[in-house]
Amino acid sequence: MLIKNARIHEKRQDVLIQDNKIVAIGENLNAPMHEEVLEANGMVLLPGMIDLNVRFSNSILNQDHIDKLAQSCLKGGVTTAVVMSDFTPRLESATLLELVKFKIDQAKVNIVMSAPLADQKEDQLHNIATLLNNGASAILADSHRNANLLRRGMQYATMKDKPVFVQCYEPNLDDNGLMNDGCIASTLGLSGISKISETAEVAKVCEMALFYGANVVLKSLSTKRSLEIAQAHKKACPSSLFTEVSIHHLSKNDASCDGFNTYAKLMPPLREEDERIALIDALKAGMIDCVTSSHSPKSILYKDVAFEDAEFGIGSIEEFLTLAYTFLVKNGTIDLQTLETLCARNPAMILGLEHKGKIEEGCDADVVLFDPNPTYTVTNKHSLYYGDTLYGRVAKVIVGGKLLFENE
Amino acid sequence: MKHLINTRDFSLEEVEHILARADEFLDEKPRDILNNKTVITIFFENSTRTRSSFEIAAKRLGAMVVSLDVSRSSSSKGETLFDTAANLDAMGPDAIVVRHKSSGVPHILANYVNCPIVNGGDGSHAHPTQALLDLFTMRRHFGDVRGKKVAIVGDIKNSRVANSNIELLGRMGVEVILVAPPHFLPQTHLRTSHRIEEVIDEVNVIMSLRTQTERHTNQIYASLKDYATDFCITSKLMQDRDIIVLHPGPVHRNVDVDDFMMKDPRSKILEQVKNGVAVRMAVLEKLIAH
Repeated sequence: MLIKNARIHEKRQDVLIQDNKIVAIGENLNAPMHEEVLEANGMVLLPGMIDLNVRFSNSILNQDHIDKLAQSCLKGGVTTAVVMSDFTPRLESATLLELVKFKIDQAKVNIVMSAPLADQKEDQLHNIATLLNNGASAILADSHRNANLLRRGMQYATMKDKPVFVQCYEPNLDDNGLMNDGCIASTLGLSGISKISETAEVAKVCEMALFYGANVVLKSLSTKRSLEIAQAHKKACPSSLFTEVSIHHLSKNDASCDGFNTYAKLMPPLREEDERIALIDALKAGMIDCVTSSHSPKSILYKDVAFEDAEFGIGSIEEFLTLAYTFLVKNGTIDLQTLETLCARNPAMILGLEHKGKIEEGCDADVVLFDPNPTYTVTNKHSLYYGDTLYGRVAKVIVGGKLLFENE
Repeated sequence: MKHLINTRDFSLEEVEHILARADEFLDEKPRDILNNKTVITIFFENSTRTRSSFEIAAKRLGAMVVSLDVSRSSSSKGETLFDTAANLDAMGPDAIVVRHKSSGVPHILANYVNCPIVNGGDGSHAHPTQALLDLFTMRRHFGDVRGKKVAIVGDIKNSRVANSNIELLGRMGVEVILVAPPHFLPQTHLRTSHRIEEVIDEVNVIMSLRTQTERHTNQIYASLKDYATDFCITSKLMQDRDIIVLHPGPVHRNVDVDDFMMKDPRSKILEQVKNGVAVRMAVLEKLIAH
């Protein structure tokens, strides 16, 4: 396939894809005989987004949810996604992992699994080595579980040269928290989720990462303080700590919870506007390594209920690239190249995928044609972004050299 | 159509109107203002006082009252709030009084029904009729409340009564000071203190709250007794100061307020109960008859 007239880093270029690889990039490339030509008309060509934080619908694993996730990924320009394995049934055996991989291969999008560190109720380690040997791309751990588990997780990670994804939260520092602990929570009478419940855990996990020499991704952070703690530790060991923030925490604040809007009920919670601005400043200062969609779709039965009873999370990957473009690039916070780094290059590096996350000769042909011009207003009331004007849309998605998605 | 979900739903003008009508309703005479009207009370959480107060208020105005007791059933499992609302609406009521353990449920139900919703208390969010009756009680004592100071004492963080009072009193020109251990203080822009003694000489009203131990999952205070050593409103603390004591009830005796203060004429707790019926009559009249 030859992609003609695509915009790559502000230059008009052609890209030749053969089999599943990018084989040539340059001006006025000629298509070999019988090669399909795809006219990009000056649209932006980006590496496929690599999202380190996605979940199946209602956190349930089944064939339907795998297909749905794959379709949603394509719509949002995501070609590789790491599933948080806190779904049911538990991903605890190599057999189940094999089965899931088989189903995912049919979906063609690179959906990869993280290995859940331990049983959800009992403090029993899963067979992490087996899961990693069979294709799991990371270990998923909760920071507040017993320290032995976390220690063992880091030791496994070091042995297998895989990252540990750590969700930093200590629920005992809150009373069944539902949203950011602040004035809005007080007014709404909703129990707060404090910042210390995150930052105290971040400090602990950073120290452990340094001590055990493991590569750790601090998942979905919501406070500037967490990033500062991580930054201080990164100085001691630059290669071992990575910070992740969701697009929602960079674009929205806890005022979205007004009117008991359960579509703003996220974990970690959306913080107050000052904190959001601080996160944006941290992003500009290079303190954030990757931005994710934190995709976690929930059906209406879990959302059209009391705020207290509603599940955390929203589906958002279908608009991921549009959201990232609107809230980070369009308004001048960062440039497209930085977005590429945050959403493709860095995540690929964290996962050890040296042939993904960039548009270079020899790399995998996972690319997205993005049209920055269209604008639209979100009319879905069940969206955190209801009423917002968004910019840009994914036009075409190519995964492994095959055109899998086309926006009509 | 108007709902009363929190005190902000009424402008100051409307509040004045409610208080003036409540004054007239204090005569406790039956009226026919709401003849042929049906009021549903649905309490997803137990409450004898608030429910009876609403029911007496509705009946004194001539309305029919249907009370749905769902506090012990698991009726809401597997149902969205839209489903709950649609079912209530299908019965064709003229108003629905809702109490729920979770903040926000009356607000969401109000989006889906075709009659006024009156919030009878939701989670830690709001209890607007309680705040109105507290204001009414203060007004009957002081005349004008502007410039007065109220200390709210107790588990403020988990209190819908405090939340509604903070909003309404603030708008009425009353200064609110929150007095509680850090364990019970919410984040607000108000003045706070951990010691009653620190503020007692400047306040006109002490509003004591029930310590909501049943709401808490993690242990907060060693014991109610431990809490009471510092925050119980006692006659020893009050001495002969000219301060009235309010409490939304039910009172935890010798934890919230001690026995001596309960029978002290400065305690307006029973008067609050009486005033509650009159204020709720005024609210129902306003929402249904107008």
